[in-house]
Amino acid sequence: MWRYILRRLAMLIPVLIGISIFVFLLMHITPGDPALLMLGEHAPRAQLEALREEMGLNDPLPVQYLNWLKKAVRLDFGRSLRSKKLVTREIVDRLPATGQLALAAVAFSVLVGVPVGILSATKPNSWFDNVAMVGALTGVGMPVFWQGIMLILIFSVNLAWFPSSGRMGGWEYLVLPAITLGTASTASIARMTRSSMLDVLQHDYIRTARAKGLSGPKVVLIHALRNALIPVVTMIGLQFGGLMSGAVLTETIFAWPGIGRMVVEAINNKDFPLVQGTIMAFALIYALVNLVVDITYAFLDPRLRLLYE
Amino acid sequence: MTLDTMKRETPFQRIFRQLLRNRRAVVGAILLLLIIGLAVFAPYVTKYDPAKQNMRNRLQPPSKEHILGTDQFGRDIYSRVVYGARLSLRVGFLSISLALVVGSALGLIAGYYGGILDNIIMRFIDILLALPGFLLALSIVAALGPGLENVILAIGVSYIPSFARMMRSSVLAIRELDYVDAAEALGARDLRIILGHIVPNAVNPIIVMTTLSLAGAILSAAGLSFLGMGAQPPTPEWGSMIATSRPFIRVSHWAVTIPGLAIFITVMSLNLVGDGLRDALDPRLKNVG
Repeated sequence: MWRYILRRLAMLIPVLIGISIFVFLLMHITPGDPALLMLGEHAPRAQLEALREEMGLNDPLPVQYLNWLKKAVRLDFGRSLRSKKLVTREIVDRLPATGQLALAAVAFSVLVGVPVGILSATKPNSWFDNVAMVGALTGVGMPVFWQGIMLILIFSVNLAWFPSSGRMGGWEYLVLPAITLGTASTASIARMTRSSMLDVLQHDYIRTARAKGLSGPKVVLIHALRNALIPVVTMIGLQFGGLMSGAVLTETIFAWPGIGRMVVEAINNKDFPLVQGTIMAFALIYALVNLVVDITYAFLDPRLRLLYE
Repeated sequence: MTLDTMKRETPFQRIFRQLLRNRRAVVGAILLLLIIGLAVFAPYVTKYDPAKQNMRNRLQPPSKEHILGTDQFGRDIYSRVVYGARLSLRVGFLSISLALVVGSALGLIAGYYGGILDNIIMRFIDILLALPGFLLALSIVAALGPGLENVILAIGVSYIPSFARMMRSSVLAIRELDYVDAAEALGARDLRIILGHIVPNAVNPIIVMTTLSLAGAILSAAGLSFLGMGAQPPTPEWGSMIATSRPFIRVSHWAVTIPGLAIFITVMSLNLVGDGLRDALDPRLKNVG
């Protein structure tokens, strides 16, 4: 098992180097001179040149990259052009908000998606199944940003049940953003649970369990669910990419102070160090989550576990 | 079906017949044709210029004059949504064409030639996969600057990995088949084997992926425009319409609700057709999420 984890960690290194080149180059093909952006258009030429020299902008590109990378591996992405704070500080400050939102969204999608999938599978083609699967299709097709606005319109503006934006601490601030962010994955998880459960319920050991006289719920919850959940766990992990993308839009709509909203603001402000740092942070988190998912999967499936023991 | 009809049926006819039997796919196809029809004949099915402002007629609910109401500049929402369909379909079509051509070519080369070429191409694909698709597109647009052309390029690039991987795995499977060996033994050239034997047999999953990716691309493009990085106002683009009308939602919600519904219906119809095609073209995938 450890060998597997170490091998997966080693495989991350070339990908992270690759993405660092990508992120570095992206900001260098951007029209506009970072020094000019920092000092403003009316800055004296000499001052501009001095800053360029100081920022290393006159060095050849590979040298600039290596210098940047040397700092990046120590998690030093420089300072935000706007707030002048350290980029790493900005990210660390905003990360808990995004983490909280993502966790709440995952909790919502599992707590709703898995039971709906199980119920649909135990009564296939019933009215419940049909309504649930049409609902799942709807959930996948709805634009996140539009759904967020619609929820605000209904539950904040019209019914005044929940606040429409911000994160003042109370759980009521979390409800609408978490539902918005979690809807698409709820739909995928429900569909996956249903098809996986339908598949498992056809196996012989389920028939044996029923023949032994076990009650319906017992068969489904004890015998079938454990096996049916393996692909669902992978699915939950796969949702994470979508959650990160969705967080950018959800946080923007609900003025949620996380890194998703920060990256949009940084792009709009042409705050390059902050954009670079945030995108690297996204890549790192994404890689680590995928790693955890793979390990969990190996742990859950005894056949895979045997391979690495 | 009799043996006789089975014999005469081409693969295309068989797929079409299976699609027709799938109620959801038929609903999706009808909606999709309707949207394409509205987009193509936009000038004939709308009464108003989508950019024409009328400040005396702002934020009106649906009426006989304006069947879906007006926005904050008094522009006809129905006309804007219909013209918006042109943009969304174009962005989806062009970006996915880019991903389809580049991704499939990369996957073909990697899968067919293997070795170092495969390694280089797949490591490049791994790097593109290091960020979730929408975030990758967002960072590319951040570098290139806002605008629809850049959105097309960014979304296209973000879909390259899916096509490359799918094509590569198909090619790897087909390469091992006897008829490819036979063609090689007969001295057929690489290009002939690739275009004549491999591509036609790898095409089914690609068709399914193209349809489903179109839905994703339209959704991403609307999202980028919503964030102000795609089409710029006053272009009647659905995502940007929602963003610009959002501040007025307490007064009148139509200018936000309708473009959102348009995105939703388009994406849903493509998903329904894609799911139907998947069932018809690749029965093995029938119950997959």
